[in-house]
Amino acid sequence: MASTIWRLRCGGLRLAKATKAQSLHAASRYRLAKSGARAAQLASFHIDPQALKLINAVPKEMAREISAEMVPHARALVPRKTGELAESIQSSETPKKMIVFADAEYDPRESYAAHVEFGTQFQPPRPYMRPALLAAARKVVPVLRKHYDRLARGGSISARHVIRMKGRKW
Amino acid sequence: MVIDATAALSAYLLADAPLKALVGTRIYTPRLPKNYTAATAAISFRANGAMDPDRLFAPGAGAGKIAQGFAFRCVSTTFLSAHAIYRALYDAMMAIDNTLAAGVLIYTADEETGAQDIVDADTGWPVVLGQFTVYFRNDA
Repeated sequence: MASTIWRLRCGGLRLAKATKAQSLHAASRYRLAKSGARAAQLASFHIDPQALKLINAVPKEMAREISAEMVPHARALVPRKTGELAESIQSSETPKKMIVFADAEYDPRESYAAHVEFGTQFQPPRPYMRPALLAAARKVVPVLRKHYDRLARGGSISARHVIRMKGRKW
Repeated sequence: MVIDATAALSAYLLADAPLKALVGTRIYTPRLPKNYTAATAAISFRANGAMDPDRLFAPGAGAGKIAQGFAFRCVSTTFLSAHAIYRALYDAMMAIDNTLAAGVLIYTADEETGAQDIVDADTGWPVVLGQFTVYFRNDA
């Protein structure tokens, strides 16, 4: 499982625990890809094992590409006073996920990064992380999708077909 | 004409009985009133954009459907009671299943993030943040 999440921290206290990249549903896409593959097997489709391997690698690479794209976007969007908050926006990789976080320590008692993103009672929100995530996903996902479609074409089922087999409510 | 997603969601939440028991009609958008005090529990939410994953992964899919992200703030006097509001909100959102509200068909809702605690910098109120993406039928 791989997903891109973002965090806002201040003073060592994690204030926004882990906001998942909903717009991508990277983790659920992975599960859907797997269940889609199972459905295809039940329907007697042949799935090239190599194609399946590539499909399963999609979420992780996608998360990595999006994170790399997201950091400069977020830095460009964040309101600047001293630039400390912008500089604190970074990404890191763990075995299971990519994390993009902001961690400016203006005052350990206050969650400055989160207050800028989410706003306060009297201060309107000035989101910079979520718009950056959406922008990065819009840019990266179609490119990667085409790339994997092309790679998976060797098998009798494409990444796109597997991803589309997901049986949502509508 | 594009539907009013915020009004539809507001109507849906105001009609939810468990949520009503906790916050009454104090569901505001996009923010709490200026003179609001945390003595009474409330929810505020605002639309903050979204991207339909169907269109991202499979262009052409999901025609007539729009995805809209909403950021929620559950406010109360303590974090415990604010979390109780969030749980009721979560249940209400997860109960959406091709539901009609204010003349708009709401397909479903996804939780984007779990509950997140934060102390409001201006007032010191305990606030529980939540983020959901809601899918609407655009032409209903």
